Amino acid sequence: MTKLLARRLLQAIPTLWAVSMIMFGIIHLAPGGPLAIYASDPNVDQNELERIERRLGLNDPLPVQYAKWLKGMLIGDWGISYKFGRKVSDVLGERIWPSVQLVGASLIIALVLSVPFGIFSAVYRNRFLQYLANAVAMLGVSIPTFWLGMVILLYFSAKIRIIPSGGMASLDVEGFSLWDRLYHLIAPACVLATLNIAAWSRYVRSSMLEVIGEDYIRTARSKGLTEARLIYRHALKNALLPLITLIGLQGGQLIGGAMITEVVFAWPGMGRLLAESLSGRDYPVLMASFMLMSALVILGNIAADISYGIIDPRIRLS
Amino acid sequence: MQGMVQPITQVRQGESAWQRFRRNKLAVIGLIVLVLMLSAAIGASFLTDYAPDEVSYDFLAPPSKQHPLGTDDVGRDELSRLIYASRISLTVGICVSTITVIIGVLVGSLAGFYSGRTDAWLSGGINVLLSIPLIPLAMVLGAFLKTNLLFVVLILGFLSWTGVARIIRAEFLSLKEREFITAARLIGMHDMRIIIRHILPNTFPSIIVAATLQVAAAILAESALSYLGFGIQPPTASWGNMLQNAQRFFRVYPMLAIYPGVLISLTVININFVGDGLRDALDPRLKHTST
Repeated sequence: MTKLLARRLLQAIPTLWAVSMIMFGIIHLAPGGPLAIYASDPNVDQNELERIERRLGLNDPLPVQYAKWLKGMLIGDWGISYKFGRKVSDVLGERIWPSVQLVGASLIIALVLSVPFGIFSAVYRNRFLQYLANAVAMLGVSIPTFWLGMVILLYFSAKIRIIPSGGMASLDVEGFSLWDRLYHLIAPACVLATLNIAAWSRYVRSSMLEVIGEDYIRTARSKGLTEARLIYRHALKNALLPLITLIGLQGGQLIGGAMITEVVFAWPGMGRLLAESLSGRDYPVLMASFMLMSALVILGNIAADISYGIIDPRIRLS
Repeated sequence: MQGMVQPITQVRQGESAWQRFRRNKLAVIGLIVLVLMLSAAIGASFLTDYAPDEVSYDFLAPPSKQHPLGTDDVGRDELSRLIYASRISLTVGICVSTITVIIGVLVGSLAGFYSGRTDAWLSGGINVLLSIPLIPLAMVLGAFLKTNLLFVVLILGFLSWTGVARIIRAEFLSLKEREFITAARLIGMHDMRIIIRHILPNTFPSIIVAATLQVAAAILAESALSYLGFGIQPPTASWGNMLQNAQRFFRVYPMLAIYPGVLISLTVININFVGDGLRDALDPRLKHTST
């Protein structure tokens, strides 16, 4: 297991390296350039502009810039944000925590809703439940997340005023209040969860159906176990295992996927930071965000692979 | 692997697939709705008297006889904009799907057929692309290139072929071990001929299903990009940028934010219905997995 983990982590290095080259290339070869933000400032004249260019190292050839960036990245010096004038690692550190809260809350909501829903629609093969399961799954993957967010804001915030119009905390609340945080979190977390509720309940349903058809369930049933015990003690465990892998595969993508939800609900997380640094051409922040998001996706994939082996020892052999 | 499909003659299979598809009511409804939408998009100029960018002094007018769905903030006919925007969405969906199928089939079949070093490189490339989140990456490209319809199609097409490639690769991996491929090799058939004549046709069901679902995914991605301001740029109407615009009058005139979203959802859900129907009809072995 440790060997597999070590190998997968080693394999992740070239992947991340390739990601960094691609992103660096795209960002730095693009017209406009990092100086556009200063060039539009009337207080900055030509000399000043050249001085800034030299200070930011933008007059070096591209490979040199890349080498400098890579070295900084490896020793933990992620550069200074053009826009905030602060260390990139500090800016990211501030923004990743809200994103983790949002993504975590949406994962919990998705699990709590999709697992029972998937099980019930598989166990009770009732026509209505099946239609409902299908409809929920279909709607969940077909409605654009951002529009769902807009409609929810429109109705629950603007019309009946039971949720805030966005942000992470009320202005009149001093310090941290759990209640206030949850009040702001509930709507964006639910919106972000819809896609996973749809996908996972369908997944749980099909894997439950598959397990119920297995021989060992028939054996257990012929032993005279009650149906409830059969489902909850014997079938459920095996049916839920593949879901863990799926969560690993998708969990890493969630931070990137939360971006549009963060924009709609003005949630001050990584996704919004990314959108802001894009319009402000804040290259160091942009690069670091992409590296972080890609690393999360890769880690999610590795976690999924490893969990596969732990769950099903037969796979470990290969 | 039990229950591999028995080779049935081409014609029989075609017939039964269509019959299976027809039994699926949702898929048939989806197909009808999509055909109607496509006709509306093509015949847009017959359906509405207004050009989509024709301004007037009726700002944010409520629905009336002249403007069945009212007007937007600069007095453009909402209905006309919605219909013309469907052209953008459908074009993006179909073109992106075509590009992803072409690249995906090319990369997937080569990676699956030639295992070893070729596969390692191609799969490595797929993994790199898969580990960069799609919408943020598309946003960066959209922000740097001057975006218009062509660029949106190219960006989304070149970023989202990995799914198709992985499906085709997996199919090739299992198909190339089958006896008829060994037989083809034994009579000295050329690799290219084996790939194109013998393996590829067997992957058509998967390709068709993946292509259909890709149309839906591309429409969603375009609307998200345009909503964020990095896709189709105004004044060209797209459902996504109409939503972005509508957000500013959200509280006073909410209906403008409703119509485009309903149309996106309607289009995407019907494509998904058709995709599911095709999956069941073309290959009953395939299980429903999450898309």
